[in-house]
Amino acid sequence: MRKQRVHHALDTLILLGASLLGILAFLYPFFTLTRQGFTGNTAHAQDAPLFTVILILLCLGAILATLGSGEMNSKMVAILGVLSAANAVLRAVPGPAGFAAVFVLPILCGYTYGATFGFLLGAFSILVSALIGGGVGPWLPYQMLATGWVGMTSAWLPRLERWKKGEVIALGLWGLFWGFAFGALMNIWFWPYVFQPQQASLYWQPGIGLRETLRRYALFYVLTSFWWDLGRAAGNALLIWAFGRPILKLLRRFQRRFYFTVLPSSRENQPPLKVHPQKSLH
Amino acid sequence: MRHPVAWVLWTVSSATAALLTRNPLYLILIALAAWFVYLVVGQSSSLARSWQGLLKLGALIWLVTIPFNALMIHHGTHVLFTLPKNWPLLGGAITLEAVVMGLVSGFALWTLLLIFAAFNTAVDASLLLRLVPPFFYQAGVVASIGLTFVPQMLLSAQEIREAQRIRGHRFRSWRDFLPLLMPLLTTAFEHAIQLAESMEARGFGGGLTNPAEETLLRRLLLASLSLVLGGLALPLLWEIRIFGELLLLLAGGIFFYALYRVGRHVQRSHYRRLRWTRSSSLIALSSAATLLGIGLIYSVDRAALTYYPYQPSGLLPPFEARIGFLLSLLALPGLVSLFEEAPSASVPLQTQGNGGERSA
Repeated sequence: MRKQRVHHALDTLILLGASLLGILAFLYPFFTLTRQGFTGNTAHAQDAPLFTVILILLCLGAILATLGSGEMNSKMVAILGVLSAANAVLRAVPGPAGFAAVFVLPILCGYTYGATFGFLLGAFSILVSALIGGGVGPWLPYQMLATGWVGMTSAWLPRLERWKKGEVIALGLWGLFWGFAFGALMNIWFWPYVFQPQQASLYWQPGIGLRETLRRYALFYVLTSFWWDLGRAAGNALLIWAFGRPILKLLRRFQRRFYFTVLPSSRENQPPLKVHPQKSLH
Repeated sequence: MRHPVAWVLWTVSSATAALLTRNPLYLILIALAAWFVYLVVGQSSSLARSWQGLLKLGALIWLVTIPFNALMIHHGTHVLFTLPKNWPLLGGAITLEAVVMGLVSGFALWTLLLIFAAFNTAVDASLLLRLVPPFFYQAGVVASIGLTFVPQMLLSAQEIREAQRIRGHRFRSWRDFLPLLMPLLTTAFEHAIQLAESMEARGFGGGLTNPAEETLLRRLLLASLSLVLGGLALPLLWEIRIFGELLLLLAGGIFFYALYRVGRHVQRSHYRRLRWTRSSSLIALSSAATLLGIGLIYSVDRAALTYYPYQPSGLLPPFEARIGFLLSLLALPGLVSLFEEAPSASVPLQTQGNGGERSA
């Protein structure tokens, strides 16, 4: 039991460390281009995207290698695989204004089953969907990491089981938030590179400071991807508000069937096996 | 059918070249090579139609970015016309340099899209999953299950839909889909339970069994992540570049050592071995030559690959024959496919005395 707790703590630290590094990878161009001086033809302006992709791959690699070190049992592998397939199918169903219901399951599963499960479901859903739809490309690691964060952060929401209506309302608002946040996050991987420093107030320039950067990005976001993201955010919220309650009930019902481990007993005079219930799947 | 490793190498080589250069002449060469490969190899794929749509959309976005770029950037010496200065964001000189820069930037992205179109249509996803290295085998198993269950999910959805219709349910708006969604999820969970039981019955879970080893591996991975964070922070925050690079090197070493330790406990079995053909060697060698050559030029003479239409450079891009030759090698997979009958890339596993393929 002690070893399990240590492993769980280390897994959580790896997930958090990789996520921190992932955030740094998204923000890395702002630091490097500021220091190097972005004059459009600087070699480092071309280095930065390659280095960022390497960092993102490192984050995903660290998390996935942790799985290989013995923590995932057959139940987790099976449920992750099958739910990833279900989510990939949901993603393939076209909705209005480019909406795809890919965030609903990671949000609800992350909230119910924990941060690790939420992260993995988000990341694997995108991977499976890319493999069936031929969407493998340099954008894939970014999408996997960002969708993984959707599931991971959903586990950090306060537990509202007693307040059933409020729980679904809060999760719907969370889906609304992530609908916008996902778009805002994904823009960052190209925004610092888009134009030259001579351009005006819509784009980033080295040395303009945090406040001005945020102001310019907000303006850029509202003028470009806000309207696209609005469809996604509204779709997430509506689906969770409409279907969230029965889905949560279903997830909790199956949690009791999935979330236990069978441990060998240490004493000979006791029954050979005992069942140890878990609160979340790690 | 060529070996997926050869395709991966070709894709990495083409994508790296497209990422490292902004010279339109070199980009045209890469795009022509990728287009040729896409036409010859990828057109017969079931994914070809969806990629055609995506490529058209990419081309449309590219064309839209050209005037957008020209209207937003007012820098350059070749002024085409001038918009009133008092127009917010748009006011100022519209220059040829800005038009060219928009053209080249959009074209680079579209070329990247084309490369991945060729890759996705040429390589089967299931063959690709067999390349997953041993340290990611759990992730590979999850992705394989996901891929395998997608058709089953679609079939379940169809059956549930028909059953609900027979019961009188009508799917008129999105709110009517709950009677479809809930049985679909329940079925998915039931399948997962059956699958987990069947996997356990077949002895799945043969990864690490030594808790001390598991702890060590986690510590190694955590240490490598911490060192990367430190290695990035040192040059960015305190300008200690050399220590930062040393930390990054150390982190890389620890990371790969941890991966090696995870992977050495994994035993793999293959029902069918992928066959490495002569054409696979040709593709792999030519791609490696391009990758190495472009990498070498980039590290020794970066200016040879860059393009900057503004002053002090000129509008006309430079061209070097050695780079042109290296990039034209990327068309080889298309040529090989044209002149060769495609035999099956995989052969059934033969009984071998050397124990090269083990059952797990």
